Amino acid sequence: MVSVVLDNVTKKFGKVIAANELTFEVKDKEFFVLLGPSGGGKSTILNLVAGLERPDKGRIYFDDEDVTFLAPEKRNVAMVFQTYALYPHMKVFDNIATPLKVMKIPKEEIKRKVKEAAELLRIDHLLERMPYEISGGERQRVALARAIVRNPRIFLLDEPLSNIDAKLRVYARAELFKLQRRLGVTTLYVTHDQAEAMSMGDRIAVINQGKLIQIATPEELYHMPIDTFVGGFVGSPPMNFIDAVYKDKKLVIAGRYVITIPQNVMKIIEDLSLNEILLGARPEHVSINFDKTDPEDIEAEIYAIEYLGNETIVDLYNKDLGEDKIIKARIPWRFKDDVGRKVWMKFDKNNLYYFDAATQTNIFHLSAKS
Amino acid sequence: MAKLKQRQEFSDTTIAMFFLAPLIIFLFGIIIYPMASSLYSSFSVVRLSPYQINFAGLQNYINIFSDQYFFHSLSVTARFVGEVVVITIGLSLGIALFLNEVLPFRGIIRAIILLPYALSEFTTAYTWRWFLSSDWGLLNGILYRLGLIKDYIWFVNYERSVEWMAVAYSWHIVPLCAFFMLAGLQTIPETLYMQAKIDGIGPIGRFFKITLPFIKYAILITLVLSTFFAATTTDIVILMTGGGPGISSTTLTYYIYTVVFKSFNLGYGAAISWFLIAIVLVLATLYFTFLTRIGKAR
Ligand SMILES: Nc1ncnc2c1ncn2[C@@H]1O[C@H](COP(=O)(O)OP(=O)(O)O)[C@@H](O)[C@H]1O
Ligand SMILES: [Mg+2]
Repeated sequence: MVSVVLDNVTKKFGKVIAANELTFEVKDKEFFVLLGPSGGGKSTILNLVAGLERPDKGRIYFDDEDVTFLAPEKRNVAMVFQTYALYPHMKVFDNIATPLKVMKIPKEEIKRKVKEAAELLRIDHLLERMPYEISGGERQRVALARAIVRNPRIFLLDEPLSNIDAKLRVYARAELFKLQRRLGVTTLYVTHDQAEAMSMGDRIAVINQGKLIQIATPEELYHMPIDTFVGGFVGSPPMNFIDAVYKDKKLVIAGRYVITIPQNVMKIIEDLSLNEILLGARPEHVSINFDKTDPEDIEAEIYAIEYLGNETIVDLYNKDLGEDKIIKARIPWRFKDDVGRKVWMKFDKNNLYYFDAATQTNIFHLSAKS
Repeated sequence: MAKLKQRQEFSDTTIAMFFLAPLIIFLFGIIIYPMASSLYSSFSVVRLSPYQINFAGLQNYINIFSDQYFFHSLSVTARFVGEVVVITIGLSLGIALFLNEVLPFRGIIRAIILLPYALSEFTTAYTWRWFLSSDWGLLNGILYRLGLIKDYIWFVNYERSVEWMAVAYSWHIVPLCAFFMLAGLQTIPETLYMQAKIDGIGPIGRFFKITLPFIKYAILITLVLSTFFAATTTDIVILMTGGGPGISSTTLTYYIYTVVFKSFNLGYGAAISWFLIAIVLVLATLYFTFLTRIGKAR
């Protein structure tokens, strides 16, 4: 049983607030992902949990134990860095054995444990090599072996897959996830890659500029992003945002395209007396027609076509929506046409997102709060 | 096409030779010719006025072994080099570790510490001579004002002249060596130290398991450099102690200087020089064998 609790934790580096009054709980055995852009403060959170940094304010607990000022070696956590941080002058065996050697465990037991960990990660044939004699993917597994060999209370993984080439990475994701489930160790996993977060996380915390933006399961994050930042960060290509004005129970885009909205959305907008709305439409919820099939279709011009094999990303342009605004549509087949051709785009009404333009917040979250 | 061919009339090597020629002539003039000339002198008896050079075979080299002044200066050089190496490595490692920390005004501090190397050996020698002088030296003055001494101290005496010279010379070359070590330190990724902390390795373990392996080459280079610098310097001896008091600080290089410029025994001086070069080369071979050995054991 190990849960991790951050209680109002703040960490500053000079003027930069790397962690800003963070409060959340990572549950026992959970695969918890910290997702956000680079420089957002994700590594700082891991370092705080590891004890490599001390918070300026707030408390950190492992279960009921206050570890805020406990030295890193006393926390029994294991960390894997993006660069793996293998000791370059030690053999793979000694790298994995280091945490055990420090604990003064008998030699025979160290050998057995290292071998076990190495077998689990299929690197037992590399034990006599030096770190510079093995591949990037193998190094990553050595770092993981060193992490699991000590039976840590918590895994802290800081972008462990970022330095692996793209092909191997998807495979490594699945491997890592299986390993975590098998060992059942509470895990904090840092990544800036939303696909990685969505595919691995039990829950995801979105972090930006030191602040916690939203904690949710991958499904919630996708369907109920708390604001335009999360909406835009999760999903690829990112969500399209279109300025609209609420008028006569309808949304009006660019003064001339009218969109009717569901009853519940209308009610929230009226309850909160909102006026300017940012409409969010994911590329998979934008479709293209050559003829106008619906009075609410919006005309556009094909700006660019990117064929990806299993799908096509089509860039659409309508100057009325914004001088340099591109609307991306994801078409699940080979879409072939001329750039510059006039088409009609349609938003899937059941899958639109509505944000208050003033606060950039999802109106459903606004109404839940009020 | 035709034009292109014409342009390629000169090969790359020819063009390179054209540009390198002045440098090669220059190098020949200032290095190769004097070296050859001195090598020849070492096998000869040279008289200056009237100029006369007679081949004497190995006589100069044989004379070395019955020259008590040679052995005295050889021992002074060994002592001087040993002291410079120890002081330089210790100090430069310490300074590099300090400079590698995140300090306020890091740039300025680094510049100030590098300053002594920017001064010439001439300036270094005189600065220390004035600093240590027994009748008007700064150090004596300070100690006297502080009431720590009643009588001025003769620092650079028969017993300690070599040590003071070693201190002064180290002061001159430590900055350069410190910067070699700092360069080594800066190649160490911060995450290694973080990993070591999590693994429970203490500060001493971190120094020996991470820092030292990363800077062992820098340390060896410092060892090699300070050895050769100290073994071959003449200026500091001439200008700071003049080889004295007596002959207490007469290093091999200073002895050669007196043989050549005071006794005008050019052939013998050249022979001792080549003997010194031989010793230095043997040392160099030892160092580099050691260096490749630890390189392999990496
Ligand atoms: N040791 C440090 N000293 C100064 N600033 C730091 C330090 N560590 C992180 N920062 C700053 O804190 C912010 C968050 O950094 P970090 O936690 O590394 O972000 P992330 O891991 O999300 O990319 C950044 O602005 C970074 O420059
Ligand atoms: Mg980071």
